[in-house]
Amino acid sequence: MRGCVIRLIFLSAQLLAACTLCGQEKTVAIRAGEILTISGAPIKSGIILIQNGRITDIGTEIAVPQDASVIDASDAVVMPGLVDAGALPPVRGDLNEQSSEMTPALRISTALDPKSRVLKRIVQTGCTTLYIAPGGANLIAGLGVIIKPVGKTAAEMVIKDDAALKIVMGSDSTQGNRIPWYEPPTTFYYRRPTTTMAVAWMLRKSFFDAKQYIASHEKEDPNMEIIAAALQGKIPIRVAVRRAIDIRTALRIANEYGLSLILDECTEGYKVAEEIAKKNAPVVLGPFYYYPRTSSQYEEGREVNWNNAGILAKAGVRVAIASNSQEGPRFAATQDESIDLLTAAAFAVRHGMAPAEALKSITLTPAEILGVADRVGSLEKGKDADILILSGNPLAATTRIKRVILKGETVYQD
Amino acid sequence: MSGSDAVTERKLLLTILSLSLCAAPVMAGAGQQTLVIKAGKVWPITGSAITNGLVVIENGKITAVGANLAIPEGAKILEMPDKHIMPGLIDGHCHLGLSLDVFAEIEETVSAVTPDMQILDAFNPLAADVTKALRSGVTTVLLAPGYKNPIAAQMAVVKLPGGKKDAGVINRSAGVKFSLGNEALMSDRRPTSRPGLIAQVREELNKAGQYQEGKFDPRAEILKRAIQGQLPVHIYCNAVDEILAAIIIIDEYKLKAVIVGAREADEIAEMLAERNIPLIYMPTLLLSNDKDLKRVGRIAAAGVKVAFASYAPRTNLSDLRTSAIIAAKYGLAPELALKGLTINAAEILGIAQRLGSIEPGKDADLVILSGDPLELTSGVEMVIINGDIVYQKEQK
Amino acid sequence: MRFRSFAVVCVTLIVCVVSTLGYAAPVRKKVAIKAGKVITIAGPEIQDGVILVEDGIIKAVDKNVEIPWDAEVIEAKDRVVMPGFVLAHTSNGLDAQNENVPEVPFLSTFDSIDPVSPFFEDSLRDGVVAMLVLPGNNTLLGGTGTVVRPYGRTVETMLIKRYSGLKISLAPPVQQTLRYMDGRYSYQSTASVSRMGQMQRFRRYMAELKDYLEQYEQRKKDAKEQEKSFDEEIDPRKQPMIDLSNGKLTAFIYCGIAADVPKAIEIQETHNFNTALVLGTDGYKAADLISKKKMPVILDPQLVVWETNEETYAEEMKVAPAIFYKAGVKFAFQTDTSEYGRRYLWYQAATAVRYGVDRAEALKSITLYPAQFIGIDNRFGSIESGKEASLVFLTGDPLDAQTWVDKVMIGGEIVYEKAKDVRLKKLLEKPKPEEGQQTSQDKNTD
Repeated sequence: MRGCVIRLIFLSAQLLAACTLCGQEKTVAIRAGEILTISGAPIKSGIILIQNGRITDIGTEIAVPQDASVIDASDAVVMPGLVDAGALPPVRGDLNEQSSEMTPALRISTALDPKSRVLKRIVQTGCTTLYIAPGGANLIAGLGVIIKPVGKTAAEMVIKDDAALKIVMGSDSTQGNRIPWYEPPTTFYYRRPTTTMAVAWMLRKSFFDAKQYIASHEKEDPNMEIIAAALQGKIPIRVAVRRAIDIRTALRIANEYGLSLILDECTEGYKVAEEIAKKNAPVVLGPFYYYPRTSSQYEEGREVNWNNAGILAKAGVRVAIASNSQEGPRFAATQDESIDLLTAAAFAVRHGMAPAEALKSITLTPAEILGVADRVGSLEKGKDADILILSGNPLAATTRIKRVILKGETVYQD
Repeated sequence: MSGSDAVTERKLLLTILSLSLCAAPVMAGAGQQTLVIKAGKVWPITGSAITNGLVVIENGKITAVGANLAIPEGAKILEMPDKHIMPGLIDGHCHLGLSLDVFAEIEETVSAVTPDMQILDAFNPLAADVTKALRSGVTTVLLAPGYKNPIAAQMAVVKLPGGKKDAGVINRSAGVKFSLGNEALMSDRRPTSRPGLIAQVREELNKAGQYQEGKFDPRAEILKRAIQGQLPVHIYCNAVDEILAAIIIIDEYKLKAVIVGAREADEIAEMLAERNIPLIYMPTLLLSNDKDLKRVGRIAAAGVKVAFASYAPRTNLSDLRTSAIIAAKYGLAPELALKGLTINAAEILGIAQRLGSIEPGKDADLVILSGDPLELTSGVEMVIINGDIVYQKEQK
Repeated sequence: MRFRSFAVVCVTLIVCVVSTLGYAAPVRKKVAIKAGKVITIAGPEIQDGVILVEDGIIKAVDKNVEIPWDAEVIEAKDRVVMPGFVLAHTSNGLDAQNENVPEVPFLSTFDSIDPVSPFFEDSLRDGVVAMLVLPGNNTLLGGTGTVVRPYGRTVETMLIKRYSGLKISLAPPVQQTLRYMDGRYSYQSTASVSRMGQMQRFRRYMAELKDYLEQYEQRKKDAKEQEKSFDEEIDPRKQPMIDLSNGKLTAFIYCGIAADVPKAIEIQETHNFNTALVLGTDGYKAADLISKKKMPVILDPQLVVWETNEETYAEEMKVAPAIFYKAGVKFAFQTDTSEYGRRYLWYQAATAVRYGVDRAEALKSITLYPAQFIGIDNRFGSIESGKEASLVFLTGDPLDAQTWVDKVMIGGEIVYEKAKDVRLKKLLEKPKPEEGQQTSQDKNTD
């Protein structure tokens, strides 16, 4: 009698164990010819184990579970999914809120379109984490969001909202102005600043007002709340600048207010590399062009240096290479192309950046700049299983992306 | 005055009184006989179709419907053995009778937020398109403003004018229309961007939440009722991201909401079904590919309540039924198609206690067709509103 | 006496020196290139190959070639030498690409090539040694082209071959006007004539030409019969189209959209022109149609196009060279300076190889095939005895993203060296702080 009971208990315990095992997701194992972890030395003939969307183990002497589904990449190169710190916005309507040049509380996350073809294309070029910035027509343009390009709703895509406050310090916010000729100003297009000095003044004024707001705390003002949070370092500040003089102005204002900055675009960053390094401001470069194509590029971004990334990196600046290919306020917000970040990195090397640095600039460095390096940017135990399988050296012109894995799922296969 | 005179007076008064009491029903029903319609097929909508059925109408209301009913004395009988009779169609969203230049009247584009305006103030019951509309079989419409305002005017539910009694306005303020589509983005007025659109709608709803009674703020007052669920909100949006944005706002502000347009709603139908958010679907006539035409069938199959709209004059009111027919041909269950033209619309518009089906007690708004309502070849033969024949097709 | 012999010696010496300086004896300029690798295109790649050049013409190329004692030796052991790249079609380097009038086949790009245009400097820097410059895509019968090398102060010194190729455009002329509306600028395109109008114009022109020729022949015949002298010349404005019919010129037909390709084929079949197709971005859609005709194709600079599948919402990449390769159609590339590799012919070839084109075929598409399409393959396109010594010295494999053009040789002369490229240096190196320029020691930035 007791024996039967014991056997019954034993059996039910086994069944229970089996059920819990069934409940757990199956392991995926990748056998790779070469693993570029980015955070450490490359691993030849390595194995990566994935479970529940995360990397559970990585190395050469790894035991692969019996029931694991194995991806054979033994003749391939494996690297982390790319991080685009300034991606093409997957938004269907207009990005730019022209009604005011100060829109700090504008959140691009409210306008994301999960069905956007931008997302489907960008995944095929290997990007698995994206930072989407608000439109660039306003001086204080709003809040950006960090997303992964897969999800049925915007909420499913977002990994970090209110990721950074975008400030544009160039001539972009002065565009679209209509100078009143014979009639008094009737639309908001007359109210915008028209000179660079006005741009700097308006920025200082808003910081000044925000400081007053923090001190007095009279009534709730959503715009002031955001600027105040940025002043207090709670929200990262990303300043889009092209010219060296504007970079200097931005650094100057940052020093006045004791702020940390991330610099975007930085077309003339190579001219002031040491100053940027001294300020320890990371830089997100892009778009790369040989000759200026948009009017704002003509006006402010004519003096290019193809080796901008290399020169900045050499001076000790943390450099991320991104698409940043949102055209200026006067042109359509969304394009139907997407910049291939691997090509961008290959050409950065061609123009003078160190290869390891270039690979980092499209993976770990942007992840660090965005504040999500705890989960993406390199192949390490515990990080998200965002993985690219390539046919060869990522910086070679003839290398293809064979497979893109996002959170452990294959989202693209050649 | 002598005693017998007083008695005579009293007798006279009594006679007059009793006579008038007798006459009262006659006066009340003056010109309105009891009408009995015998039709080849009766579609009550809330029950199964009745072959060779009867509908009894008295004093502008339906008093009985069925087969083998007793016919009241003195009733006028309409014999229509090969015709179909169904409730008057209800158009969930149109811009009928809004003056000469329709688009100028319905789009208050100078200001983005106008919930204090009422579309009924722009309605012209004598307009040509209203009188023409009577032959469409549509008897009740929801009048709405346009698509260019993030928060537009209040909508109205109106019975098409006609008949001896002016039945006109059923609800002057049937709800507020919101537009979360990219159509609401203008270049010279806020909002010019998509995130700006969402931000503005939120701002207005937040302001409404803080509205204090007694202060003069007509917009906030109206939107406060919307947040409290007392005033329905019809949100115009078509693309998936627009509908998702609408759902976020509906959830956040607990709105009693209806989605209008909803072209791609099938892709997130479960989200609408679990929240019981009904749809007023766009005219299928405006869709051009198979993929889009199959959507509404899938939405209804997922359990979402769907009604139809004509967006008149973008499509004709007579195309309302065509929309349902096309939807049925592309997968919408036929009974849901019929419901979409009648009871679903009535329920969504809050008028189901008097309209939307052929049931005793409901208004006698009926349409008689030459054949099955879901056949394109069927035409409208007669339209009855409040028991009066307002349209009759000429017999050759 | 000593003075006299001294004078004789001096005079002899002076005469000898002067004679070597002043006397222009025809000395054959011989050059020997010792390359780490030679990609001949005509045959297998040669490790440690030697190329002998005499008077600007390749005399020999092989692994072991005897180098003449008087040859100038160019050491290029760490270089890959291959034929200079050929650009089969471009409208750059002109002041304006299109004439306003639709039918101007008698115009010639020779008259508007600007030797100082940065386009030529860039082309040389990027390894192009020959290019066909044709009018733009906005004129029905745009004019004749000129084959030039991107090196020379005048168009005459740049000239390789005049009167080469006639440009026909089936795309209606599009005017782009920059408009300011609703607070933003945008380009608005207005087509001044429709596609059907364009085709009709062409047919009418050819019909009128035919008429003209018949009447001309008739007049000639009449004069002969009447034994009168006949010195009427053919209208020079019509000559290029007649030469097209006679096979003296090749028609380069621009098909803006794939739907224009059947019309181009119709033109070719009706009039029997030598034809090359210049395609737009969606030209790959006509690959099967073109493969039946075996017409040469010049691809749009954008090689990768995304197509949306409306049913499944999937995004698919279409790669033009891969599609044409599969369809067995020979193609050449175009370039533009829009982004990264699109400005380099060798990178276009690398992209083709990336998506499945055979390496040898891709390399031919930037050398031999374009040379064949524009009719200069007797001199360009491969390293073979008898061809012009116009070569590129690359720092690595042509399909490597890190490769640079180190030297360019045109006709036996090194005309470009990266080491001496001042403009390129400025674009790659950190600028030196100028006199008085603010440095990071400036107080204001602290």
